[in-house]
Amino acid sequence: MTLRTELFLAWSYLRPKRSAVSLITVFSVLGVTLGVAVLMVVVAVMTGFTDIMKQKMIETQAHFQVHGRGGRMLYSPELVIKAVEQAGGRGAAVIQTPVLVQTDGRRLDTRTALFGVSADALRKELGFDRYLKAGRLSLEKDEVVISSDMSRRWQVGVGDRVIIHSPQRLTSLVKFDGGGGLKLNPEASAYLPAEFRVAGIYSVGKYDFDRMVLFVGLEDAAELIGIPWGAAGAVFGWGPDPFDQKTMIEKLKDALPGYEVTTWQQDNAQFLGVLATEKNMMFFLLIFIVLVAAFSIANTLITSVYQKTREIGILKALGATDRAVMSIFVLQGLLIGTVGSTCGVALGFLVVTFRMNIMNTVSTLLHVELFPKEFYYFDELPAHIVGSDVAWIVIPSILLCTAGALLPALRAAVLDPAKALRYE
Amino acid sequence: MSDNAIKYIVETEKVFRSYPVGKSRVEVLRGVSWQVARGEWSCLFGASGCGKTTLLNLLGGLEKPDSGVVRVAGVNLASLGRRAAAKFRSERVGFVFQSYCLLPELNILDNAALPARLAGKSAGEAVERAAALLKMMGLDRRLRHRPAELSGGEQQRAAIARALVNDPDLLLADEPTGNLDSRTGREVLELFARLRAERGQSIVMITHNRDIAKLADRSSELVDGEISPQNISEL
Repeated sequence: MTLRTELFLAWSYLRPKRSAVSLITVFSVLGVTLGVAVLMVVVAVMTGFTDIMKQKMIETQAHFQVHGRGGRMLYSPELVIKAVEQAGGRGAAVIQTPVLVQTDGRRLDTRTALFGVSADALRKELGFDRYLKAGRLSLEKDEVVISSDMSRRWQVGVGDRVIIHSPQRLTSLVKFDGGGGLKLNPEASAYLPAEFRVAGIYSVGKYDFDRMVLFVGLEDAAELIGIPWGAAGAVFGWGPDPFDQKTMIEKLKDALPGYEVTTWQQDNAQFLGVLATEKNMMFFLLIFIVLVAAFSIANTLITSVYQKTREIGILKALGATDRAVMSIFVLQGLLIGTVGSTCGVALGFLVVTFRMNIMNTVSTLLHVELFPKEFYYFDELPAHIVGSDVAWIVIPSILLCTAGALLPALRAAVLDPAKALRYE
Repeated sequence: MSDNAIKYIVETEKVFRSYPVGKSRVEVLRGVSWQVARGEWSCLFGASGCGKTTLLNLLGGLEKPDSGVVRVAGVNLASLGRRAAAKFRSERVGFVFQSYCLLPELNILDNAALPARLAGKSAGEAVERAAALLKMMGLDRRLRHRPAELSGGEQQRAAIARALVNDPDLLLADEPTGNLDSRTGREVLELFARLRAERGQSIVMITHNRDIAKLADRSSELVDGEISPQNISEL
């Protein structure tokens, strides 16, 4: 018996007609369809969410960073910037340090990160003009750009002054005397905190960023932490495609053997790992829907084998081998899985395409906002269908459905033809 | 020995067959030795439960004897494994059942073509052979009908076409007129006579009806699992 004949018989058994068996087939297919569609939608939303999170992440970050090995300062950052440009990217020298901020009312904020950078880099690489809420994006000498969150907390506005302390310089003023007490460090040079005038106020819209980050000019930052003028803590770099910069990073690493080059993915590995794990967990939890559908197929086919016992006997009397009979039932599982998965992919695609219409309709009907903008940074529910994700959904689904048919198929195969023919 | 040199299409020697019933066994066939000549229409007659269907199943390779030899077209069926037995059924015998046993999901043409497809013939060739046989049975205008849409006589004729599609050495018919009215039953029996006369088809038919049994070339009676020594015409 050829596979074509086995397929022909399997399809004939499933072919919809006005009988209970066909209805059961339809429900079996529906089970797989719904399982695959739910998986499609959830995985697409998770992928879309991850994509947007990544996009948001790189809006306020460098695509890669170049540091001196072991945290060494970069005394000639211009050489690193040149290497970055030769590798196909753009670079900017940066000093990044925690600071203490003091305002007129003697309030001290200890959770502030200072970025010493040129206003030009902020403007060109991060597009900071769009985030500016008041004043100017200017980082001339003694000028600082703070966030609107800081402005509110510190009660300072454009033109007001803030005092910034360098924790490194402060800690170098004293040392332990060996007897458990403290004494002034005679080697430390005199230190005074720096006073800055607020030139501008920004708001990126990210809680952590707005809460912590302020900007001063590179030279001011160097002076504040006591390193030579022209030196930098790191070079931040940007390439043409932050999602595909492997070649550029390899070139850069070859050009800068004494430096550490890290990508934004490496710097955010933990968060990206959480997103990936979340997506995988959703996949593994939801694949159970398909598993339940596979059990339903097994159940359907076991019933079908009992119902068709006599027909199986007839097939064997007509010359069908055990293997052929088994194939007919396994192919039924495969057909249900294939048709169900195909319909599921189509349904999933439709739901993803019209997700906002569906959500708006449900919101209107239930009078509940399903996707409140104030909780998320997005205007619409993100979703992105990726071919490999679809393959990861469809292939296991078809395999599970086929596996579900194995047990009933085996039972059909081992049926004794004479006994099967006597079955009423 | 070539198939044509085989004198008997069916030979059984001291065939025993029993079935477990509870803790004991019931002997259904008790040393059946019987022959059917090639091209002969032979009939096994007997009351219900005398072992007719069991003997027919043995001849069709659907089950095996406890002991004894069952040889059909020169093939010792007891020596065949399940796969070889399936191949034998597919190529060498054709079954006609009392209740037709057509597959309800398939139309008459596909039903009749099925054994040819099971034997590995292409769908086109199988359908061509089936259509020719169904035309011979007078069913050429019912090819696309499903069994439920046909009368009992039409279904049985379709079942006979199905049994003949692989041009088998032996046609095994289990009470082929049992579900038919007398007129339709007579038509089916006339068809058997025609097949024997025109195609030289070897036929083994079982029935519990003495009058039907008398229509065959030769009839034997099975009584309590044994072939009666008397010829049916003497009964």
